[in-house]
Amino acid sequence: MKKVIIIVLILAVLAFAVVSFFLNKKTDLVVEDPAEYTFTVNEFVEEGLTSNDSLFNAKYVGKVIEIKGEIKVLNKDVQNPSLQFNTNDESIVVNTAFDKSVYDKVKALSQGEGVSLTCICNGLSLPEDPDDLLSETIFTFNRCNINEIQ
Amino acid sequence: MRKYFKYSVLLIMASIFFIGLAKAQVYKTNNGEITFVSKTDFKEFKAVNNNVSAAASFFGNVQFRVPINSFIFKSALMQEHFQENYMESSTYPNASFKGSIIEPEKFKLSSKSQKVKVKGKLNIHGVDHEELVNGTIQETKDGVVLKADFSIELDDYNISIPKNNINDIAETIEINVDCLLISKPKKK
Repeated sequence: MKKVIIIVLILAVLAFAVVSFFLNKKTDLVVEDPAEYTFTVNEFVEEGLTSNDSLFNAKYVGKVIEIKGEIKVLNKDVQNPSLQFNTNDESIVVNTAFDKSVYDKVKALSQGEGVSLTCICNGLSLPEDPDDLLSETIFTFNRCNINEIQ
Repeated sequence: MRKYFKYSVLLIMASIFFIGLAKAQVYKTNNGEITFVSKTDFKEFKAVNNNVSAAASFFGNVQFRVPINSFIFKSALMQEHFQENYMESSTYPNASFKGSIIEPEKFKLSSKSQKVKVKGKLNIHGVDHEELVNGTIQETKDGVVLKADFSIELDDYNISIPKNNINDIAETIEINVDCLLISKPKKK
């Protein structure tokens, strides 16, 4: 009987620890996990534009992706650093956002440089109407980490 | 008479050019920030999104596109619940807003921060709802700063809170918008 009580107690403690872990787990503001997919920017854009957008988003949203390309626009805002990649098409925006803790690394980057990032993919969003003010097709990433400058 | 005619033609052409230029003037960003807060007596949740696309035209039209999966919560579990259960982001990946400045009636950009009222259609969770948003717009050397604070009712967007979370998640969500828009020519 004593043994049963001890086993039940141990199981209860373990269950509590597991539940607490998941309840208190914090969101990683910078991706540390290895990438599930690796793409150049133009490969990723091409796949996005030639696929059904819902299927594309179902496949890649929330996934860790390594993406390589040339920096088109750098936004060295301390609170909200970000960069946009160059693409073959002006109406396509590939936008990557960083946590402010990565600011110093972003600050060291320059426009026109090649860079490899690991980010969480937030998907492809198409313009609702081509005459909209927001007429671009946008691929968004966040929680990015800089792997290397090429 | 001939000289007068020549000047008139030049004046008309110049007017057309400047009207065209004004129409083409659009301010944009893809790095706007939207924060939302849910406050109840028991819990407070806050999420930040730095992937917001926003655009404003010279004549006071304003537009936003917000990727739902870009909201970052402190708690990984809350983020997962928000995306999968409440917002169903795989079905409704974006929220959007299209509106116009209704106050002041003849809006003109200024280096002073101006209070504005924007009326438009907010789409969240696949549901359109008309919202009246109070905000400020200011032209700075870096671009146009657009700020707004408003609140929405979850019920208006068919977002239901499970019974066991009813004390944790507010029915009214406070939203804060902060964007720096940069001048870009509109594509023809």
